[in-house]
Amino acid sequence: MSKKSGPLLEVERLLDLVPYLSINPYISIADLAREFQVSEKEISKELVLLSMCGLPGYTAYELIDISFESGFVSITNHQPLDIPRALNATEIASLLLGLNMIRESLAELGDDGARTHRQIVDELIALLTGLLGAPIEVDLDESSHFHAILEEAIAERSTLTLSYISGGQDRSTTRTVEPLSLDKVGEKIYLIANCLTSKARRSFRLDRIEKVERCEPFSRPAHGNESLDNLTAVSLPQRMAKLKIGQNRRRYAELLGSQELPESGLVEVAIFTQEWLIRTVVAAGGDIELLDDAAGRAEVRSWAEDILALYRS
Amino acid sequence: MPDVAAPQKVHTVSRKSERLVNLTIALLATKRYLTKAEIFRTVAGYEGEPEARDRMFERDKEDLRSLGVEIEVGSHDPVFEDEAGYRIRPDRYSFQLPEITPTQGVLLAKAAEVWRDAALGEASSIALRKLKALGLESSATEIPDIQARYRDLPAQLPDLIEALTSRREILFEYLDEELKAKVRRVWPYHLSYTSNNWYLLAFDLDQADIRRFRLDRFVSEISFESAANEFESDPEGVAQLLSEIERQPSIATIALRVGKGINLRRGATLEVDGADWQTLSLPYFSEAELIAQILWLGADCQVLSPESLRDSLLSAAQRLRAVHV
Repeated sequence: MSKKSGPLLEVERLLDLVPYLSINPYISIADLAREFQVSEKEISKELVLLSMCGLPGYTAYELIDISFESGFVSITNHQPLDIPRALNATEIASLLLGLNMIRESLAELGDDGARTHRQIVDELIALLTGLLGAPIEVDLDESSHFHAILEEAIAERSTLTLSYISGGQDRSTTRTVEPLSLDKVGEKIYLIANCLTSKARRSFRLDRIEKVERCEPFSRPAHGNESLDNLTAVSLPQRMAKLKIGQNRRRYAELLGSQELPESGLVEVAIFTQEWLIRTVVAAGGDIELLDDAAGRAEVRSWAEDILALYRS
Repeated sequence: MPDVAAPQKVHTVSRKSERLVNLTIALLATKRYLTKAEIFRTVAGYEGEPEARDRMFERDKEDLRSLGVEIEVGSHDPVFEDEAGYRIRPDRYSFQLPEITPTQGVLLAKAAEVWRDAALGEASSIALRKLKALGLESSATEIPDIQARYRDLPAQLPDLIEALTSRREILFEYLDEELKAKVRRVWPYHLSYTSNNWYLLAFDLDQADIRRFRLDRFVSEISFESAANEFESDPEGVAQLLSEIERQPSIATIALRVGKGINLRRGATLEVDGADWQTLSLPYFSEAELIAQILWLGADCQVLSPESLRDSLLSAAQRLRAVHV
């Protein structure tokens, strides 16, 4: 691992303190400690240490001159460290990734101010990409176009109306939901929400959402609410199904949102509807076997027969 | 006075930090290369036997490099091959974007704040510190608060960025298709975020080929197996693999029952309309994924072409029946 050790993090802070103090004279010890994310005791110790550094010779004329006895810090005689240090590759990359995200959010806003800022962000991305000199690319998925509105609705607790393609039922549906969070499973991002239409907590794949409309803010408080508890109660899965995963284990583990499967391939999965279970097993084309459910197995077999019959006619 | 309190004790505890800062100052201030002997004579903290001092100096150089401080090695007179000397060029030491405007500064600070609690938190808070040391006045720019869309950054990301930019060989454990953790030894070439996932393109030293790795399939930390500049990247190989991944889609022709397969219809074109069945053409990249989507629809969807897709679908349906007899 490339984690920096304590002494190296301290050296970084010492090198960064000098330009920071020279541009922020008379900052309080408390503010300085907060800015450098260490305790006041620690930052005071480091200021003492810094006051013992300087140019070779190390007389009063060469040492960095720091005083903070009043609780406010001043620095003189600080050359040549008074220039802010260069960004390293990881820092540049973190800024680049952040800028990419800002760029997408500005694109979703679409007004004049946002356009101007987006242009500036583009210039900064070009500058930093040039500095990094290594290929790191970010391409936000199409499904992210609803991200901003969903995130806003989650934060503001607004009710939403979704046009959503239900895979289990193979039809387009309209739902009124109270959005709760966004969650990533495998390659897909899901909106977790209380679905007022089906009176259950449900997850909605973002790439199956066709339209989103904001409605009223919902009035329920975030916690300890009776009606929300009721909703959770009715949303409990109806039953558990026992499955055996044969080959392509990584693919199905990722579908289940896991990095692990037992050696036997046996898993128990919570299911909401029988139709969803049958379609899931059929779609696996023999990689998944439904166990301990004679009626379900007969149904899967019948689906397989019907599919094969299509190709005989 | 607190600023000179107990200097002897602090000196002992933080001798290394003090020596590194003093070395940085001396190498930054010098206009010419300082030889090792000059450094030992003038910079505070290099004491002890010659061998111990040498080892100390080598470690210090490596530590400063790991902080991104570039130490240049050269000599006063290359013709006579003088003893090597060292210096830090101020233009290489200092912040690379000195001319940024307040608005640019605010946007960069926002970009750094996105990662406050994520895997890049340490790097971005140091970046933010450096930005603040530029003394940019925070202008009243109306930039919305940005949510960290991919806040769940893979823990390995900072190490991968380091390995990629400094061209170091790495080793990690990776889940294969059957979920077995296998050790992979690679040269990282290219990092990207696409389809909601992070991917690394790297030269796999055991397979002797460029391969693509998804970061959420890593099951170990990254272990660095070499110093910097171990390999040259292969942009042409990367471009070729990327073009294979982003190749033109294949086209399938399928029959769908009217009103069914609503999700599959989103990317499809209607070719022939009918009372019960419709024929559609459908672009696809992954045969396995398309077969799963078609099987999901049961007897409401039939593959008409290509024949290879039809054959694969038939074998999958036969396997499904055999498993559930």
